[in-house]
Amino acid sequence: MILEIKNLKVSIDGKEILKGINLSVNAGEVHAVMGPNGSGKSTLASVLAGKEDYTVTGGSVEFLGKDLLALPPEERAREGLFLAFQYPVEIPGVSTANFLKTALNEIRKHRGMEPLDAMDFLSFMKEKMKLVNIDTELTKRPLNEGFSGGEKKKNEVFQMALLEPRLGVLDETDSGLDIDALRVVAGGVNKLKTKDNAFVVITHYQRLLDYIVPDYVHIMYDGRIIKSGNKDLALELEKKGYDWITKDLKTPA
Amino acid sequence: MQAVLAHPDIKEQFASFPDLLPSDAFKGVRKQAMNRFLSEGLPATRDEEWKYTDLSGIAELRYTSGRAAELTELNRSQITASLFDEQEYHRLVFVNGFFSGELSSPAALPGGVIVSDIASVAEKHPALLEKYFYSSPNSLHALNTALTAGGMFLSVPDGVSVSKPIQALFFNTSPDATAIFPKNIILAGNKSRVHIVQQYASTEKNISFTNAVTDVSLGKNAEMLLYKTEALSPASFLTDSCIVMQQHGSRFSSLVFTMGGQLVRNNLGITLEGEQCETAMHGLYLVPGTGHTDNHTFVDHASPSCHSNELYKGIIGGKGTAVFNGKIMVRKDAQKTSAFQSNKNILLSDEGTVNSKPQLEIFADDVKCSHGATIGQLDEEELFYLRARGIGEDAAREMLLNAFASSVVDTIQIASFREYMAGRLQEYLPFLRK
Ligand SMILES: Nc1ncnc2c1ncn2[C@@H]1O[C@H](COP(=O)(O)OP(=O)(O)OP(=O)(O)O)[C@@H](O)[C@H]1O
Ligand SMILES: [Mg+2]
Repeated sequence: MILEIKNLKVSIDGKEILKGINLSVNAGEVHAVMGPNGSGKSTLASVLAGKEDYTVTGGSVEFLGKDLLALPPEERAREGLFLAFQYPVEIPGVSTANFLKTALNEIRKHRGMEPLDAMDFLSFMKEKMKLVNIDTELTKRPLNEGFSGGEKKKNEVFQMALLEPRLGVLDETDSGLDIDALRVVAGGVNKLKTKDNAFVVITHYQRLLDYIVPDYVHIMYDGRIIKSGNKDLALELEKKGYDWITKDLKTPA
Repeated sequence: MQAVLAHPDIKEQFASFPDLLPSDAFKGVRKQAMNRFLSEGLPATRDEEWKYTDLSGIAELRYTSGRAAELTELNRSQITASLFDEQEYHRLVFVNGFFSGELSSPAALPGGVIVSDIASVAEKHPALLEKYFYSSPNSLHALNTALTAGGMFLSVPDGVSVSKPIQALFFNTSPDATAIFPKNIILAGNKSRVHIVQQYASTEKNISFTNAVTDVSLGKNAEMLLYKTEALSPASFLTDSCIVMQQHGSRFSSLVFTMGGQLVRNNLGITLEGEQCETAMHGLYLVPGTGHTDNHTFVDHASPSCHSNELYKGIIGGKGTAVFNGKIMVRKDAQKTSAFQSNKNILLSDEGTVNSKPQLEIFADDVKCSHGATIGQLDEEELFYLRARGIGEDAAREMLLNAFASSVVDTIQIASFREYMAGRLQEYLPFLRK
């Protein structure tokens, strides 16, 4: 088991946002999480990555057998969790390459591997860049600074390729990508997929799931997963819209 | 009952300091300067210019002149470690305020350039210095004139370009409280070119009060870089005044890099006397939780068509305090002036303080001027992003601070010195804490 979320409840400033999430992810699986705006998808992703603004009021999260919620964000990343942000921040003055080298070597250290020197890092980076077809120029620039929306998203997937996580959580990585970029990014994810890792893909669009075929699809609504199924669920959702599921919830029992 | 030590009176102390300049030529003017200091004393916080910088701590110590301080082997190696490669730099070293011939190595210089200690110039060619022992604009300047016993004298004749930069290192090692008064005189002739790195440093245990004055003049179309580093012990006081006069078409670029010290006050005053001058003022202050750094800059656009550009950045740890006061004066006739100023600060804790004040006085109408000041904290979103990639909290913090400070370090035009300062910055960041 890679990830096991049990009855996770999270609030921010006293307002409950996640109201009891249950989700289990095994090695080799791809899970898609869909759901209307504001349903709590990014909150779930941020809580997994360790963002401190949230208060966990109940439940547990196990990641590779460890109590994930007890770890600071950097430890989670070193253990193999990767969040591709919905809105990657721009960090002026920090060179992308230098940042990546530091991150990679921290993670390698944690895995008991030797740090890569500048030369080895460069060739490793070149190899990973091909995977998402990212321009060398971008890595020479300050991190995300002035990157276009699509470039930022590609950069997230590129980082994921480089850091080789056990669990990749992609928060709307497809939003803002043109159709070619979408194919490249999805292709990248498919190449990174092994029997030992897993992905949670948050998206609004069935389109992405044509390229990254999920084993499970979950629908999130108002802080809960209200329906799970296989890839056909996404297709059905595309046709019928959220009302189709939520109308059952609204009728009083 | 506990014995209470009588406060050593600061005026009395300095009035009885020995005159250690080996020349009689300046006795009169030095006496006058001392009288000026005695009548005014150290500047007090009721003086608007000193509102946020309280010098009273300086008056609580009993000082020696530093002459008798013994140089241990350890001190010697500490100093040597601070020296730049002599293949690349001319070096002048002052230990506890006094010139050290042994540690200095001014190599052969091109036609007519003089690099020397002002004490020896005072002894052998006092006429060269006469202009610079003038009646002082304020009491700290007067104190420097009254008691200086050494400093850099650099004179570059017209048309001469000094290829290697000059390193002037003032290193304080004395374990006893020492007061030193470096006086530096830098004269760049018409169309000359020279690069200078001026450094105030000390051992970790040193206690000192350094009261320095640097007089700079740039002739027509002269070009000068003047980079200063101030890396002093947590118990040190430094008051520094740099006075710059620029003639027509000259280009001046300065950097003040302060890391540590108990109290540091830098005055930088630049007068653009001639037309079409360019001046750049850069500063970086890294203030530890116990420190105070104050930068007062003043650029006087006295002639038309000059350009000034100023960028000062600070990182303030713990309960540290910082002051930035940037005055820009554009006189009535100084049309076609452009003047830009920016001051940016990061406070690492809620307990630090920054007082940032731009002061623009513009009397001409055809002027491009802008200024801006920011005081903020490290961006939590940025910090989280880095941590979410496996970078530890301290390392992430340092990475962001380094990025913030780099834009100042990157302005350094001497490649080897830029790399050196990037390294010093990196080394110092871990000392800046919440
Ligand atoms: N810092 C915050 N303060 C108050 N409310 C917040 C905060 N962060 C998130 N929320 C609220 O939590 C809810 C869930 O937000 P979240 O970003 O997780 O939604 P989402 O499912 O990712 O939506 P989208 O599809 O638009 O990205 C929203 O109602 C949002 O307004
Ligand atoms: Mg979201």
